[in-house]
Amino acid sequence: MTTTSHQQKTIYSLIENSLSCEYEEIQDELYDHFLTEITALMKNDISFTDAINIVYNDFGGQPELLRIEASYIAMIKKQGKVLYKQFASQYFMSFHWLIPMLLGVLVYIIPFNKLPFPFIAINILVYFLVVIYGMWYFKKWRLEGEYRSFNNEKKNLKAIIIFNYYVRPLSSLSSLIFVFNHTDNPIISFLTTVVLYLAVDYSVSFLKYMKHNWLLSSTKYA
Amino acid sequence: MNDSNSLLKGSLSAIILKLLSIHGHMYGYEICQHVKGLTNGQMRITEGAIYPSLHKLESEGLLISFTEIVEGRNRKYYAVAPGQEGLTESRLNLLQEFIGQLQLILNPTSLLKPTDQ
Repeated sequence: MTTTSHQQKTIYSLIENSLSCEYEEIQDELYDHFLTEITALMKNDISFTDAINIVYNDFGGQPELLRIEASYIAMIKKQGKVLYKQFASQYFMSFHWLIPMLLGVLVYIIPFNKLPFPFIAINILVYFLVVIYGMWYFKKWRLEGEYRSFNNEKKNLKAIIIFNYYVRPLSSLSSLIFVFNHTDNPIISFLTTVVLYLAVDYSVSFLKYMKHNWLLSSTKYA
Repeated sequence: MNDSNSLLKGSLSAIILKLLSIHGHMYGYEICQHVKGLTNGQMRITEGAIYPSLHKLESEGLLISFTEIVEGRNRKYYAVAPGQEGLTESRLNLLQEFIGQLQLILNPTSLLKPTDQ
């Protein structure tokens, strides 16, 4: 005996309502367990209602489901910390950081304040739109659980492209224009440009590193 | 839950590692059923215990996981992480040593020399 789509929805809702629903992956894992066990019980002439109650109670109800979810979140955080430490040491040990620093210096000495106003205005507008889109996208990414699994390659690729080809150059350019127009202190504007350049490069490199290593070390979608 | 289940909890990670080293990759429900089958239903890993153990082993880097689509849904499989087979073996040896020591305590006659008996 197999479960109907309505029964499958009931199972998924039960799990969804029992968890805090931050990560899709743990919901999927528990759903697979529930469904497999309920199907096995129903083959032994146990009704769906009884089967779902048996499995839910075997798990220990909501308190145990929340404990399972907490263990999953702890694992994610631990993996994230390990990867972050690995990335930070690799980034600074490889002297990769020198490239954005040098580019920052180069960008600083180019006289952007002499560029025509429409060009500057369009760039600033695009920059803010991209930043807003980036923030919205990241929030959505986390809520959908893709934050951990990276199971949507196309979306992820889009995020990389946006950061690499839009946010990095535009943020440098816009910040440069901003500091040129709003501060008379050349040291502050110089440091702002270089640090911002480094920060954006660090973020992009981190995103790439996480994508690559997370895929290798954890979930792969067949 | 019978008494053997509470003893089982302490050895859970070793049992998981052993099963995975034999079978390659397994999913949570499969591991529960396997233990139940091997012990003729005498031992049963509760679901509330298996998943935190699996997550802990994964966070320690001893296990890796991958997901496959089975009957239209995601199924998460666990396997021993590449290069971690040695560590798995040493954990199992540690458990075996512990069981041996426990046996010596529980069965002190084995400590006696044949001439003492």
